[in-house]
Amino acid sequence: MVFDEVKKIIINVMGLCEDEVLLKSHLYDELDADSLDISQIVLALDNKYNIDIENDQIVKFKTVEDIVRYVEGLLR
Amino acid sequence: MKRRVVVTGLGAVTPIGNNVEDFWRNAKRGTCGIDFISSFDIKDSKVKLAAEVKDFKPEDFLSKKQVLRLDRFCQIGIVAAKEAYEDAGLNCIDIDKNRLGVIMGNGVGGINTVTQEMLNLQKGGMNMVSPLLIPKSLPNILTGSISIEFGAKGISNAIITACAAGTNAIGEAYKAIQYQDADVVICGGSEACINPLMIAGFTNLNALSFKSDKMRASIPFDREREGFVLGEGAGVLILEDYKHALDRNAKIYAEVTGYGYTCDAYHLTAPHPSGEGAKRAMKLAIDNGSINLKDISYINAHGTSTLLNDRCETEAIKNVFGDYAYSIPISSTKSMIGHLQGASGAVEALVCIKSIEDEYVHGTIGYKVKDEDCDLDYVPNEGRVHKIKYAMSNSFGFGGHNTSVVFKKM
Repeated sequence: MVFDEVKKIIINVMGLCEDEVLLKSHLYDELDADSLDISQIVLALDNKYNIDIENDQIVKFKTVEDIVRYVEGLLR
Repeated sequence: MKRRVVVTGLGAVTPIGNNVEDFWRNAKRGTCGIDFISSFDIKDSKVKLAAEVKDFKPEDFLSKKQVLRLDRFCQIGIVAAKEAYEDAGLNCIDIDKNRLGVIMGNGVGGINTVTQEMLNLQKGGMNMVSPLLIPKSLPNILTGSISIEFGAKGISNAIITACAAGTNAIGEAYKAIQYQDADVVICGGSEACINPLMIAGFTNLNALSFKSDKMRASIPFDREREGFVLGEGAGVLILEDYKHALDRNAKIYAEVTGYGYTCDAYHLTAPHPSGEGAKRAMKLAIDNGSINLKDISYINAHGTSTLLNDRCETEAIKNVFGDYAYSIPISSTKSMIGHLQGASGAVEALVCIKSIEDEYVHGTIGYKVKDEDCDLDYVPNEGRVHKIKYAMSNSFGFGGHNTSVVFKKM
């Protein structure tokens, strides 16, 4: 499941606990992410799924769900 | 008018203690911080020894994110800076952060990160290189991350003069306060580069000692010296405008009275044989404070344990001080903690200040065999009680950099 993978990557990149990362979590307001976190998360996803998330898309990610839905769309 | 500049805080992470108190107590005892390298497999390495920082747990001092994002040289530097900042009492008062500066030195930045990411690149291609490669490895990130830690929004600089960087950072901070560019400056150096790439580079440059006896590997001024021992660590000083320090009743350790820096313009790695550039740096630092030669009552030498440095530095000291050179106790901290590269000058400046405060100079440990060319008083093996009026710290770096700073007892 894409959410489980995204969650795992976010936990590794940001040093968070498992129960802190929910599907609805806001990346910036709740998880305190910044551009360095997002770059790492995106690269990890690119490598995991052999996809290429474009720069103009990255800035549109606001929640964990945004990332999950976008990756699911690419994999369809 | 130039302002007076004083030292109001100290911080250190070293191979013989991860704070100033532990470091200085062990330095006075003559503790050797050199041992077999533990950070990588030394089976294929000609060099077996280094002076590593022990039991350093960054998570005890830094947030999870800082630990993940910062190279070891930055982690160690921030921890030393925190100690210095708190020692100066700056965490307890409001100061104008636009007048708080940071000037830190280092030699090779985040080389551990560069090395790891190069391996990732070779193994998995360009997509395996972390986005953190650049921010973790830039040498100026040390200054940047310390500025973030304390909200320091004033002058900001990163000094890259190889093994003289820590001393240059202190000197530049001194000048900035003298000329009113800042009221308080966090300054010093940090380095952590004990990895196979750096050891191989220095080994093949014939700069390191191959000895496996830890008491006879870093032996500055001894006739049997053959090279330095790579060390890691950080030293941080809080320099402050004298009046600013008085107004807030700060503890004052010492005054900075001189800073001299020159270049040999001679060779990429070797010092000038006559020590001419080093002589001029020392002379400038002394003249800068308008003091007499005989006011200098202690020198913390660069004293690397390389054939050339120790001979040239000795020559330079004699050329500056004449016969009086024989009356000055000169010790090399590198005999205990190896060569901390861009952090060495900062830790050794800290030694000068503790020596002034404690009226005690530490010994140059492991010393056995006298060298005709190195015939000054290197405080062999045992430290001694010694009153100091002014202390000078020397640092010299690849590229021909020569730097000296002078501290005065208040």
